[in-house]
Amino acid sequence: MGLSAKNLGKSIGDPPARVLSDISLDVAPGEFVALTGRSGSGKSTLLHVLGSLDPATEGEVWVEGREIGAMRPDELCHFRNRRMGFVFQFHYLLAELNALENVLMPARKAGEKDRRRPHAEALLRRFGLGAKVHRLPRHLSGGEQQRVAIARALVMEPGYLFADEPTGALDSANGQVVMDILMDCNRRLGTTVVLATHDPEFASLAGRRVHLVDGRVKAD
Amino acid sequence: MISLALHYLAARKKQTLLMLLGIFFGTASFTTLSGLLLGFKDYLVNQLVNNSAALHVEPARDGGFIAHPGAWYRRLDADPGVAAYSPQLVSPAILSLDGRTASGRLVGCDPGRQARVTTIGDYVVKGSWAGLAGGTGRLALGAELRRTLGAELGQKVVASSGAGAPRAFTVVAVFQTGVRQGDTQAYVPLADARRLDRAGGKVNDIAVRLKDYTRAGKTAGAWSRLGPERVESWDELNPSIVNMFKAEDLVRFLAVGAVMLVAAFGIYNVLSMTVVQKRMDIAILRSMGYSFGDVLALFLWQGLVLGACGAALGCLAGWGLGLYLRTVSFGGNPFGAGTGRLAVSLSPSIFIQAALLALLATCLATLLPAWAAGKLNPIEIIRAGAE
Repeated sequence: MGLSAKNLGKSIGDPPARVLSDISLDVAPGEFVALTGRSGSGKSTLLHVLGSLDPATEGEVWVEGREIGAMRPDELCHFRNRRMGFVFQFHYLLAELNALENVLMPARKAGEKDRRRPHAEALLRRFGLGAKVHRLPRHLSGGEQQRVAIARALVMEPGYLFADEPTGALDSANGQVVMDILMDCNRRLGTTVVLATHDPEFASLAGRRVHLVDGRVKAD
Repeated sequence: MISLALHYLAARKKQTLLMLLGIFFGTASFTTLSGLLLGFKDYLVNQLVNNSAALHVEPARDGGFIAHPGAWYRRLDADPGVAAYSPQLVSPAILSLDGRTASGRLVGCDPGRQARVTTIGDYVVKGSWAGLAGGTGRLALGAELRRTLGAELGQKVVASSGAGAPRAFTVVAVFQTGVRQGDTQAYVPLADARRLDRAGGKVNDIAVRLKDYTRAGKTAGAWSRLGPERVESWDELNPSIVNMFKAEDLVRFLAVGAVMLVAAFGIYNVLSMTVVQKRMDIAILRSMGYSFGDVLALFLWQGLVLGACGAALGCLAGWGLGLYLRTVSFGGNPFGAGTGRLAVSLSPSIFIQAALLALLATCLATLLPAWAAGKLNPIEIIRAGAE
C-alpha cells in the first residue's frame, strides 16, 4: 500500500517534449529511494508527478491504494496536506513569517496550528534551531533555512517525504546535515523518502537507487 | 488566511499605505461631496415641502374655491398617510404703510394648523408666530415685504385684495425663509382673510403635510381621481428642481466613481505586482495542500482589509469634515438661509453608500489578481525557480 507508478509518461511544453516514458515503480512504505540521473534525465519531474504536484500525461500514480489522478481537487489538497511533505532545492520560506510560523504553515491549513506547535518547536530544536525559532528567514543561514523547510515538511508527520535536490544549494557540510536529517526521519519515524539528487555520494546513502536516463528507468 | 494576508500587508508598508490612501480619499471625498450636495438638497426640499406643503388641494379652475372642503377634511382626517393639513384662503394683495406699497400674496390660515403643516414658524426672525393666533387683525410679514414697507413690529399695515374694503393689520411677526417667493407673502388669520376677500366660509387651498413626502406624487395622482379639485405635489410644482436633484446625484456618483476608479486601479496594480513577487510563496503553499480557494482568499483578504480600513477611515474623515463644514458661515442664501451656515447632510445612508462603494471597488480590483494567483501552476513556478 505504498507508492506505485504504472506506465507513467509525461510531456511538457508546446510542441510537447517527452520528459518521462513508460515508468513503472513501486515504493514500499518506509523505503528510502534515491532518483538519480544527469540534469534533464527527468528525476525531478518524476518526483513531482509521484508527489501529485504535476499530473502525468499517461499512466497512473497510486498512493496508499488511491489513484491520485482520480481524486477531486479538494481531496488531493487534503491528502497532500496530511500525508505528503516536500523539500525543494531552495527553501521557499515565507519571508514575512518567522521560522516557527513557517514550520506551522501546513498545520495552519489543517486547523491544527496550536496542537502542532510543540511538535514544530521540537523539530526545530532537533535540527539545531531551538534558539532561532522566532527569527525571520533572512536572519538565518542557507543551511538553517533548509532545515526550517524540512521541519515544515515534517510537521504534519507525513507518510511520504519528497525531496528535490535538497542539498543542491548547500555546501557539503550543510548538505550532509540535511541528508542526516532525511535518513533519521526515514529510520526513526518510518517516513517513506523519495529523494531526487544528482550527487552520487548522497544517493548512495539511500536504501534504493533508481537511475534515470532520458526519462526512462535505466537501473533500479 | 487573513493572518497571512495581514503579514503581507504589513511587510509592504509603503504600498499598503498608498492603496489605503486611495480608498481613504475616495471615501472621504464621496462622503463630503454627498454631504454637501444632499445637505443642499435637503435644504431645498425643506424650503419647497416644509415651507409650503407636500401637497396642495386646489380648486378645479383658477380663481375659484374648493367646492366641498368638508368632504376633503373628513378624507384627510381619515387618511393614515396625512400628518396634518391647513385650509387656506390665498389671494394677491397690495400692502401699504405710510405711503409705501408692496404687492404680495396674502395667506389666510389657522396659525396653529399652519405651523403643523409647514415650518414657517421656524423662520420667524422678529416677534412670534404664536402671536398671530392671539386674535384678529394680526399679520406675519415676509422679510421682503417688510423691507419694502419698512415695517416694524406693532405697526399697522393696510392690506387690500380688491374684493372687499382694505383692512389694517398689526405686524406681530416677521419671517425670513430665504426664498423670495416665500418672503413676499404675509399670513393673517383665516377669518380675517375671508372678511377681506368677502369669501364667506370658503377656502381655495388645502395645504397637506404627508408623513412621507416622497409619496407626494403618488398620493396626488390618487386623490386627483376623487373629485374635481386639482391635487398638486411639491415635485410636480417644481419639476426643474427635481431634475436638478437627479443631475446632482449623477454628478456626485460620476465624480466619486472617477476617484474610486483611480484607487481601484492602484490596488489592482499593486496586488498584481504582489502576485508576481509572491509566486514562490503561492507555489509552496499549494505544495502544502493549500487549495485554489485558499490562495484566492489570501489576496481577497488583502483587498477586503484595505477596503474596510480605507472606508472606515474615509467615513470618519468625511464625518469630521462634515461637522466642521456645518460651522462654516456662508453668509445667507442659498445654502445657509436661516442658519447662515453651510447645510451639510450627515445622513447614515451617505456613509453606508460610501463604505459599500469602497468595498465593491476594492473587491473588483482584487478579484483579478487573486484569481490569477489561485490559477498559478505551482510546479511551473518551482521548475522556473530551479532553473
